[in-house]
Amino acid sequence: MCEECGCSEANRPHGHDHPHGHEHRQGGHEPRDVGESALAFNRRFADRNRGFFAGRGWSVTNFLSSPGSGKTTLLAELMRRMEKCAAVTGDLATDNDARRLRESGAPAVQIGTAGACHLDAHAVAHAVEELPAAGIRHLFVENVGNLVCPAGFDLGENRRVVLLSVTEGEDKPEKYPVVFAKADAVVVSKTDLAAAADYDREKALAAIRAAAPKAEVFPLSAKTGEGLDAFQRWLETAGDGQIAKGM
Amino acid sequence: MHEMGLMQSLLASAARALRGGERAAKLTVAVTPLAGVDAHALSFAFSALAADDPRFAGAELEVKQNPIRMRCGPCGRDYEATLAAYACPACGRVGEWAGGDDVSLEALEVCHV
Repeated sequence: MCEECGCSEANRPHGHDHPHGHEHRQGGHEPRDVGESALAFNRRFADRNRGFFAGRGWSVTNFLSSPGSGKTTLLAELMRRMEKCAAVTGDLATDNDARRLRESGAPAVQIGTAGACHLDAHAVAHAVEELPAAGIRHLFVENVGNLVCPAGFDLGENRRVVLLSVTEGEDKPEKYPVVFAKADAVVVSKTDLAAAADYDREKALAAIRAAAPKAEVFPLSAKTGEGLDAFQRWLETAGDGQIAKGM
Repeated sequence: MHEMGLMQSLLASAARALRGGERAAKLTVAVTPLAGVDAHALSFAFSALAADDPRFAGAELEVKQNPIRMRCGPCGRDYEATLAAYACPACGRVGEWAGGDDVSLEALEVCHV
């Protein structure tokens, strides 16, 4: 019931004038369909980014993981191996990651989120303005290390990769299922540490397959190079993933 | 995820849907498991933000949990998935996403002041 006018009780005397009759439904409250997304603002920028990326001929991959799972090390290695790469990297503070990535010889832009826990499409739109217009084929977006918030923000990427390092615990995908759900690939990183971490490969793969039902899985070590070729081939040939297809 | 920010967006949508001299009696918000939204945190954000706004003070919030919807290609079946089980119950294959991962203001009940 509306406390202002008491209009759920049609015959109740009113202490004020108002223009409506008392024929309306649902206890005197007029139902009104809205159907407006709380994420619409980000989605508009994501769609704009997708058009911008397509116009420049960039293939864009969004990398998500918890902090310390090896995103920067992997990207630095890929940028050394692959032609025509660039990166945008997000952190709460410092430009350490962009400096590390630039050592590969490829351009990298740091996004300082000043405390924000994820990248949004608007921040990425401005960051890519700092990249050269020509000579880029692969753009890697290194999201803020966080397995929760980045999941909900489409950046306009073509595909989404989630990293899980062997030191994090095989059940991480069970604990953080949302971020894995629409992963096009899951990278199991730091495989050179598998023995030291008592990593249970079968258990991890089962958890990944359950949480990331459409993902290809790439175990690799950016340090030793093991498994990198296969992942690089996938990046070079993969088409649009689930996010880009609006699925 | 970002319940406070999401609620600000939802209230902005609601405010746009209100005409002059109207106030909201009830907001119906729909979420899905893929949105990673906590209903309690969303309700808390609503209480905090709505209290100071005469268009929303005293309004009710309903948070509807919509399921994850998928469609199985091979058997053409629509089914509901969970964050722990995406496979088609009939054939065991993983279908295509058929429902959004959205947080949206589905409907309002409006009251004329």
